[in-house]
Amino acid sequence: MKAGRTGERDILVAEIYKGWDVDLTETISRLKESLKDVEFSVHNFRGETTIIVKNGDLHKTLEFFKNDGFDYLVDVSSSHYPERGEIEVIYLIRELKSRRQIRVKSALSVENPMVLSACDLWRGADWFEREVYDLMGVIFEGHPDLRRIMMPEDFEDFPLRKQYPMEGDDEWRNFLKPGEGE
Amino acid sequence: MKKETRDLGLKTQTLTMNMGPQHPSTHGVLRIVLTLDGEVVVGAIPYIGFLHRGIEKIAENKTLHQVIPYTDRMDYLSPISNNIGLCLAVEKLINFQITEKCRVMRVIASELARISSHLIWIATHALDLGAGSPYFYAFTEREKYLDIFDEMTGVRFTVSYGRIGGLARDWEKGLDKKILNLVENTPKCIDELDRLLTRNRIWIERNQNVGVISKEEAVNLSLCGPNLRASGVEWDIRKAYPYLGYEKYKFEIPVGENGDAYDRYLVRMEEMRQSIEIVKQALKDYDEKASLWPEDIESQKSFYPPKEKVLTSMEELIHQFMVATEGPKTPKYEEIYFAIEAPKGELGFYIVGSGTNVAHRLHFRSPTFANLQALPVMLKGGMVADVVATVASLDPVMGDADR
Amino acid sequence: MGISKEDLLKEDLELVKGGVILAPLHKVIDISRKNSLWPMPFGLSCCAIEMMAVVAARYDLARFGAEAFRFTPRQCDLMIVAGTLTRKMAEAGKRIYDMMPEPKWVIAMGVCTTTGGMFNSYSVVQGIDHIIPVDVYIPGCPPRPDALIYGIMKIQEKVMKEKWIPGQERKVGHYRGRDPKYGALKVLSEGPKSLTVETDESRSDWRKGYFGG
Repeated sequence: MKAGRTGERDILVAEIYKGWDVDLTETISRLKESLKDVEFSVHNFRGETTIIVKNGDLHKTLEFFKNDGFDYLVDVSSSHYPERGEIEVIYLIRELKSRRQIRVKSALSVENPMVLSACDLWRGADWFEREVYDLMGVIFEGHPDLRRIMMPEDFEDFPLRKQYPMEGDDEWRNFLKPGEGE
Repeated sequence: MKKETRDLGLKTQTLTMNMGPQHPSTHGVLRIVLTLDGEVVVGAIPYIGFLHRGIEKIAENKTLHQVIPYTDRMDYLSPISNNIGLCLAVEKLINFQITEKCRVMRVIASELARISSHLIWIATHALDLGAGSPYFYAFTEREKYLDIFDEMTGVRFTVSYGRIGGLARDWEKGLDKKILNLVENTPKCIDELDRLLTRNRIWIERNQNVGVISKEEAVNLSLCGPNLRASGVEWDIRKAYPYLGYEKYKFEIPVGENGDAYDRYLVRMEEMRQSIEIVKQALKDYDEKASLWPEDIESQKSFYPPKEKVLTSMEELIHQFMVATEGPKTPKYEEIYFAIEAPKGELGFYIVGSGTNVAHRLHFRSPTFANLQALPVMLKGGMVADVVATVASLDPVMGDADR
Repeated sequence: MGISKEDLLKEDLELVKGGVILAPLHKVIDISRKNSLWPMPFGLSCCAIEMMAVVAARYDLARFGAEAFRFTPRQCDLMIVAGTLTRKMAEAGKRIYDMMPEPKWVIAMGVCTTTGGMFNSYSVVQGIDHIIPVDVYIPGCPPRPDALIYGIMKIQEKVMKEKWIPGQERKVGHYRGRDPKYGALKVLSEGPKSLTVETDESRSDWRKGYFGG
């Protein structure tokens, strides 16, 4: 079938997926077997599974999941916990065929937030990691092009860290305060 | 990057050209730096962030109820989908059950938003390629949808219709009939656009084999929504992880084959028709007399009481005050991810609870952000005139990408 | 049409019969300017969609002679700033305003453009009048298309009152910036950085994974 080649509305119909609770116990036991030196803990909440690993093991774990069939990177996000002095980097990955979805996360120290980039596994990680770098200040080693993406290049702070005020430290650096200069 | 042609002794050089951020065909404030060899694009670097307003930071400083209007301004072509997505995510975090009537109303509202969003997409896509009349046809049709939103929510465009636990207000009597009448007449407009464009020689020439992305690359680059489906991947959140009871409705997921701009066009056109079918089915489930809000006391601690009662009765006023100050208590440092199929693709919400009614962290996985990432791959090797067609066929909304 | 018989002197009446109207030059210029405003749609976010709706069939801006949207600032005399202006975009906004030829007017459409609106955050300019002078503010988030049409009518009123002829110093709109040339945006005086296009050579290693080097 050549969709649209003849100009006709000729579109395939996807199969209807059934059910939506996907069992992940097999995947996790496989992870335990293949990566014996990796310590991880599993957390379940509202039907979602989170794997928590140490910083050094994050890339290894992700690589395992990539080889296990998780072909789609949904999201990379980050979260700052000032009382623990940690920044968490969270990868959410998915296998489209079986609809397995798992969250892998790792805590980094605020002083030295460095982690290996996942760009070599999923190319889609590129911009997601750049966003985390830009707003949270996590440095992804091995990223092909780690530049700011949201803020201007000359911006210096990381706005999503908790100590950064919402209105911005530097926000008025270039603009007058209300009432001034009128 | 110099190329030498020995025969003529000519030296050719690549040319770097800036497009945007203020450009009529970038659908907002996208900036692309193109490297051209003659008329062939050899490299493209998209720059985004010109509309970065810091919604994620703002969301950490506001109560979850107050975040709802901000989601309107993310993907501003389909505000209702975003509102409802956030509400569903918060409801998942605080484990809240909505009523059947609310569920049906949300399905109808988000599908209407999908149609109106796709109407804007076809208008701008056609306009970018030089076809002026679809713009007027599609906008005229969209105005009818905005009239319905006006009546449904009180606002025509940025609606803020979702509420945690329900919706801002009930429908007026007879609105369901108006909606039915509207969606029954929309296929006329879609057919008209279809006749204008689908077999149009110019349209086919300008869209087929333009901005091609293969199935593997699309998955690898985290494309989502109609763009992913046009590459031949059978993926739709409504089918994969059904929310709002989408598994009850019969509808088909259009899937393309070639992953070019023309397939993306076909997929979206068919999606509009399928949305109409969903609305028609959902309207049959709509029960006017049922209650929009849950009746049990425990649930009522999570949402605002109806406005007319707040202004007339003491208890409701105290209740409103309690919800505003304490609100729905999110479990501390527990995290959820919830995604809906927004018109642009997978719109996800990653929420970390804080023990209060303010999220510790609220991250939006926005579809346009993921889609634009594929732009360098799509543009490379194409002609410079196809840049516009490729960008338009991705249906980017910069408010969604930059947040 | 707006000239009643009483307003005209007797000799004028004679001239009208002959097909001639006498009026001050600035009046003639103002009338022609008022009825052929060429807007520059500086669409940034949500308000831009409402701006597009104004041009479309239902609201039909052509009735007011201002439907000729031009996407190059050099051909425009009315800048409609529609949407949230961020710091990153501010340089482009200022540049576009500077490119427009005199006389020029600016509409700040929506509250984000007027004051920053609901986005009191680290990256949003709290009002476009920090950068360029504004003639008409339109409230609303976003304003309905009717409101934009009303704003354009207000601009037309302003044009009629202006009595400006080329060569004279022109009064600009409300402006909160300090330096009339560069505005309050100090970055501009150093020369815009982020809008400079990198040459190929400086980015030759860019993204080898994508393009194969």
